[in-house]
Amino acid sequence: MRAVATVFKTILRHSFKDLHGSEDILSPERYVSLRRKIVGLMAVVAVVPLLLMAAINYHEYRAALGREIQNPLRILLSKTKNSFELFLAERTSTVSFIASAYPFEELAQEKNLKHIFTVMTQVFDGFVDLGLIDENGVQVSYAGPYPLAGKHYAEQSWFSQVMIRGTYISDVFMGYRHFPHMIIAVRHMDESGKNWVVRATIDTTRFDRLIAAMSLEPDSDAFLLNKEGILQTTSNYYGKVLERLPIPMPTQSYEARLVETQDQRGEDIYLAYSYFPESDFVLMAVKPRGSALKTWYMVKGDLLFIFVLGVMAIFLVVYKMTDLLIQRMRESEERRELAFRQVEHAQKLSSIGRLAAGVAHEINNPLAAINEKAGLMKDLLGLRPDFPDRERFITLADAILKSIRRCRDITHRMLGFARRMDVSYEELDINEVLTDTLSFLDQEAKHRGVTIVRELDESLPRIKSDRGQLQQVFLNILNNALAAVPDDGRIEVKTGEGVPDSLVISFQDNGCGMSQDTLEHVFEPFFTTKKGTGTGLGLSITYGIIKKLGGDIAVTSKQGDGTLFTVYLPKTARKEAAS
Amino acid sequence: MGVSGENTKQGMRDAAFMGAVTASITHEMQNVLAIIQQSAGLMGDLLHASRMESLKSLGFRKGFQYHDKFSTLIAAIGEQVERGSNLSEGLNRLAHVPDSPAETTDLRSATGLLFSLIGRIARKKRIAFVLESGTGDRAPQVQCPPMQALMALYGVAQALIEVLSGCTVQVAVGAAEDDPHVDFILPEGGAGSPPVILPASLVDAQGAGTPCATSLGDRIRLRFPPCPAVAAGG
Amino acid sequence: MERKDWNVLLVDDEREFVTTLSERLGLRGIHSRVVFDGESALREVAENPPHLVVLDVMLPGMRGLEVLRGIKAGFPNVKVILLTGHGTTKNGIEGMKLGAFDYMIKPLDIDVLIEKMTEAVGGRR
Repeated sequence: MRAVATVFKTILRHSFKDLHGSEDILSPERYVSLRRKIVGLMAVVAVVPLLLMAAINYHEYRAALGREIQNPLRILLSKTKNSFELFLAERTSTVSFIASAYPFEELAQEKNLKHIFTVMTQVFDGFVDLGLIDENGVQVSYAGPYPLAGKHYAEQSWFSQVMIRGTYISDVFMGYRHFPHMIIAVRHMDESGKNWVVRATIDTTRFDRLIAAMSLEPDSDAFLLNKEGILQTTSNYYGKVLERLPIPMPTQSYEARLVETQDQRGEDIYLAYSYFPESDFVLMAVKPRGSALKTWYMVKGDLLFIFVLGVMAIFLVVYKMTDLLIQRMRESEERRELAFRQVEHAQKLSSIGRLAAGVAHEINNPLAAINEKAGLMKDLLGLRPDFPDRERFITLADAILKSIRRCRDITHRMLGFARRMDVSYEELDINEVLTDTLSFLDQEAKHRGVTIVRELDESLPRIKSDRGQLQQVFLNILNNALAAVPDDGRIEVKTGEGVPDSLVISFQDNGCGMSQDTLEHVFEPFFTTKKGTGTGLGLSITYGIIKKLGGDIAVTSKQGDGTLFTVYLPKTARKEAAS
Repeated sequence: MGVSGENTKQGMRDAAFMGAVTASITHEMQNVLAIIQQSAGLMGDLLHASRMESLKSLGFRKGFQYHDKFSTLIAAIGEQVERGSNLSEGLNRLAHVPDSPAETTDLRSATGLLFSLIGRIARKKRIAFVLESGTGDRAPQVQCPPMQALMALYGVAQALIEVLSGCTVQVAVGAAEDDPHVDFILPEGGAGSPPVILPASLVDAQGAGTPCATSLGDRIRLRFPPCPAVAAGG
Repeated sequence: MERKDWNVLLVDDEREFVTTLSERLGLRGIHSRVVFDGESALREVAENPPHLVVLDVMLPGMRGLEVLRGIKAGFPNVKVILLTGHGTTKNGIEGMKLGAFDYMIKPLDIDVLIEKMTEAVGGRR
């Protein structure tokens, strides 16, 4: 059993090594081969027991059916055998009674013998004649239809046998009477030691009647034989009286016994037989197996039908299940692959961002220099109050200084966009952050003819939050919206106060919208629609940032109508978020 | 091919978005720099006018004491604006690279753009990238989207900046032998420097159209294998 | 301590920036010396230890943070204010861990710088 389990395990491991083998994504060919293996294995696992069960069932049922046919045959045979034995025993005892009931002298008188014979034939049928033979083998008297008185039997073998054994039952023979008969001879010895033999001839047509009483089916046969295999009664299929049975004699058994064999025509038969203990006879009954198993063949047909149907069902189910399994696997593989791609992609993107950010900050250096130069000019002007153009110079220097500040803000904004800064809370005007972020997209929007409608509530309170992170959130959502709307599309950005104690920023687009399924997964990492324009990370990051900032984000969408993203931000930062 | 093609396309789209944002920022930057330039220019004009007036008044009106000083300062501001402008312009060009639908890149101009951007970062490590002037033949075109080419060049340059210091790296663009390539020729004295660790994505790069970097002892060669069938779209 | 007694060293490779800054500080009564790289800075500090060093983080050759480490190793009492052109706070925070007094992002407001300098020289930090 353990060995079987081991083998099975090996097969399994072998079959599914595709699954563990490498980190590579499974190619379609490998999926096909994997499916073939799974289907094969599962089918074998399911079909083999079924096959085994069917085979066992087949044999069991067949054996049971066989027994059902054999037993009645055997019983019938032994009953018939009993009838035969009874018949022979009756005749023998009758003859024996006659031999012992009457003294020799009385029997020797033909008149007496004929009287006895007449009485006897009235009680028992089948007796043809009756004769008395003295110890020298001479027929002393005779009652019957043939002139046999005075006939010598001393030389015949049956006579010497009866003289020795006391009784003798002959085989069936034709003799000079020209019909099948047999003889029963009984020797008797009186007180004086004188021996005589009473001999009766019996017409064996009685046997046929006994066999007919078995009322066998037409294709079956029953007959009596002697031990040498000579037919004692006429059979339907295996020859006439005194012909040799074309089937070899079965081993001797006094009990009714049944063997499966073939007859001379090569037909499969059940052969039931029984040897007679008291005489040389054998009773046989033959039933062709074909007819006996007719019901069985019908059952076999049903069984085969069910088996085929079962196997087909198994294959169907296995195939469907494997299909489902493979599909699931494929989906998860694809998702995994997508995740890898997204990570790789995010890295690539960040490398572009790093370059841009690094360069952007290089601009700070010349700006710092200009800052100092302009500052110095202003300082010097402060030292010369008499300079006539002083005011104009100061205005210009201030313009330069102001521009520098603006530049610095731009580079810092760029940084906030290009990479994620450390979370730093400051008092923010959400409208300003939003306007700022929108300014990044103005060019793209203008280029595509997308209208961005701003409905900003100017009375919004300032809140403590992280500028860079919020910009990233707004950018992500707006990027999605821009990707969703067609050229000449429309995006509405609204701000307002919500309950309880939160700011609500909503982004409504009239783009393609999302399906229910997409909507459910939209914040999952690496989720992206197949032809999506998002990075797949964008919205999950957005979700993460909003949660980190203590806010919430909701999305509603209708396919074809557009999508509404709503961001809720707390007016007062949560304790742990603020700390 | 389909998957990576889709991936590349996606990457390009994001890069394009990124570019749009950067472009808008640099655009604003240019405007602000222009304001500074104009303000400084006006100051210069006023200074000049005041000098003229002072000369005209024949000494009645006193000249501005810091006239020369201011002239120098204004000139310096002009220079710094120029410098900022160059950077901003480079950044703007970088920002527009992903917009380009081209599947081919002019290697020499890509290399030039990159070094104009990272020149100062390299100078911080006292590394000078010197782009060898071409041998006169037409600039080698490679079958690789400009963004990818630029990122590959950036990858190698960064790896060099990481380990080298105080030396000059000759950069040669060539198309000799088989594929178009960019050679970063290491200085002879740079032998003692720690080995250059190239980005894995460039070393392991395989397949047509993907830039591939190899170390050849005295130089690092970034090869751009031509791809027979360029991925559609982009 | 009076401003005029302060001994300040400015370290930055942006000559235009740092010389002008030095001049402006001078106008405000703060005397400062200027060097353009890390090695010179360390030499200068060793020769004449200043009260305060205004140090750019991104220096050619020796990195600004290495210079900071060098100064702090030899002269722990010298206050250092870091300047960074890159808007990341990362370098600044790293510098603070190494013992810098504070950090500022370029371009900077000279009044804020002087405020911090005053704090550094006079302060107890």
